[in-house]
Amino acid sequence: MTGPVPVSGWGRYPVVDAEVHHPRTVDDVAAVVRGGPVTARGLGRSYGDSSLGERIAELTGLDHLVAFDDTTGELTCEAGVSLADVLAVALPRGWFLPVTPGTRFVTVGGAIASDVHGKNHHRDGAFTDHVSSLRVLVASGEVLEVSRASHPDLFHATCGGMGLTGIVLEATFRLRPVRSRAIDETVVKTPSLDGALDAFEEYAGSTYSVGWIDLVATGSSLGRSLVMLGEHAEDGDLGAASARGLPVPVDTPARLLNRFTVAAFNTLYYGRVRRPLVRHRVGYEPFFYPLDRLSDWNRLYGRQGFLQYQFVVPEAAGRDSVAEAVRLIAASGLASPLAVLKVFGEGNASMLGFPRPGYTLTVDLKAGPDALRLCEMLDRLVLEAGGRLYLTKDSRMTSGMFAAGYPRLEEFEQVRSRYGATGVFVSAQARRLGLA
Amino acid sequence: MRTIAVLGATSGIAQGCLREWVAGHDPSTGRLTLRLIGRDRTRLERVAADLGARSAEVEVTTALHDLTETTAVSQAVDAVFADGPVDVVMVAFGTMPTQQDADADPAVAADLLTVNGTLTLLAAHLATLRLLEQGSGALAVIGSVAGDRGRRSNYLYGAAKAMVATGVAGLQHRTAGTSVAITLVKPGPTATPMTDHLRGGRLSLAKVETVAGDIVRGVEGGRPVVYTPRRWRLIMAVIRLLPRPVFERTSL
Repeated sequence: MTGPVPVSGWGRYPVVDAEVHHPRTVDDVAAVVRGGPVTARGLGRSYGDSSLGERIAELTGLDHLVAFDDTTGELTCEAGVSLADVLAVALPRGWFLPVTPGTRFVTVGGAIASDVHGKNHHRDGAFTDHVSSLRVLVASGEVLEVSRASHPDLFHATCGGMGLTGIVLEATFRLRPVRSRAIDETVVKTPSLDGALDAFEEYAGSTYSVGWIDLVATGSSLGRSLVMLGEHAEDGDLGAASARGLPVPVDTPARLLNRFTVAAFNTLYYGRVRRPLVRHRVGYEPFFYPLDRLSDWNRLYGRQGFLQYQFVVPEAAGRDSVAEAVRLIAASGLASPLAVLKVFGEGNASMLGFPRPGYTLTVDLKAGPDALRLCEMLDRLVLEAGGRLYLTKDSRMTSGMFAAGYPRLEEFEQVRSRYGATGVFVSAQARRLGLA
Repeated sequence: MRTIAVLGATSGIAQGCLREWVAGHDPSTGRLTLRLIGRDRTRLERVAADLGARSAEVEVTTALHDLTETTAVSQAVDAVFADGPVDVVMVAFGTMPTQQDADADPAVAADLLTVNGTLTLLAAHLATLRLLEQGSGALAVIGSVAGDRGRRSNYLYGAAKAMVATGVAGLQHRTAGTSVAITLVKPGPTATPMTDHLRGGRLSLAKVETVAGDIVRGVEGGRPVVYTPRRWRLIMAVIRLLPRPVFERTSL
């Protein structure tokens, strides 16, 4: 145990003083849970206060693989194993993650708690759609085998449940077979948001699709985008690359990222693609993890940290609400170059899962009063459209906004209560959002 | 076909090195056999399963020995060599009670000296004799930067590791001109279970992966002494040279 020490999420905002425990075994975990209310944390890549609390159990010491069957791709591992470690072991043997978020430096437990999605959501769903079973330490200290057949209520509450139901100790999930470490990428350049959304529809058959959108450009360039499509290459070698990034040695002066530098960057980034359609072959790292090359890229936003705002609006709400959000953000001039657009496929049975059919937009905003005002405007728009915000990115939404976006909240709380989790597995975010 | 044996295989640094060896194993050279020695069955089996899952080319065997007295150490070294030649032996067991615990109980202080000093060196000595007998092989012994100069916060641990360093220097002299290579590893403070109580403090802890990578490269290259992370070679050179009045004013 150490602390209290200052701890924050990846956005470096907010910061709390926490007592941090580093359990290495099931017995250690049980002892921490007996000691009082606890917040589960992995590699700390959720952006806001999901992994913050007064007593934190940092679970990266549970980092053992348990079994890997390289004929079926079924992997069982402890919850603190990182996706980078899974890739390093599995890729040379012809297996890739079934779903990956935009960084491989998250733990398996974190991927389950956030029910992370990736560029293949429209085809393959979210991470927990590929999870067959979990071992969960519940409030009593008992370890339960949890799956769609055994304790299904706890399974669907734990998947996407932000660590609020118990501590995931182990997970079993199925990897995807691949023949190469390379991705055949197609970049579609579109001068408008409509063009980008058309491209998502036109290329719905692609395994991977994601859009980079310029959220600074206004006028005739409003919503210009690059839609990136990808397929695992059918040939090439399989070795995994080194997972170490270049450090960002200092906090960038906050003013370095302003509307002029961002506009210049975006113009260059967009202009770099010269034709409406470009095909080429890239490694899986630049395709999935462009930012993992900088190991502390969150420092680029300066000391005050940043907010990442990610919403989804249902398809039925139409493109108009996305377009309106793009207009609001562009008019504010607050966006960073990191802005991502994606069309989701079907949601799953995770009670607090984020993805649902519709459009999702993600933008980084330097923390500050202007950013908070913009978020409030966007909140109203998302609420009206019947959408919701992603808990993993959130550090500021109200309990009302949360309840409106997550209709299965009540059911989730009932499951927590049934398994004694209420008041035992907690977080700063849960408290803010009115969860017991 | 290659065999690596580790005494104290559940230690954080040992696990890091074993993963590095598994990841770097070239299947065209045949299978890799790992012989793991530890004292806690559950933890040892967990480590064995982990390593076995990391490669299809790896075979893992385990043996339980509580390396806190002479007979156990001698039996463990016998067990390591019982099933044929060994290419690399690593001596990585140890304990690190706090100085306060050692202050409070002479038995804790004596154990700390015995396990980290006497028995570690004994294991290195016995393994060297076996390696000389088989004609070749590598031995890696985990020492510590703490052995380079006694300081108030951990001089018992440091003294034990200094004993290991002197002993290993003698073993290196003894094996000079043979095909047995011995490496003394001196990690700086590393993020392992041993140092959990130091986390979040002023000291920045090195990542196990970094340290393990340095160790494995050093052992494979037959380096006599490996400081890891590398900057500790310079830091300790400076600390050794600090004049006593200056050194005693520091809070190291």
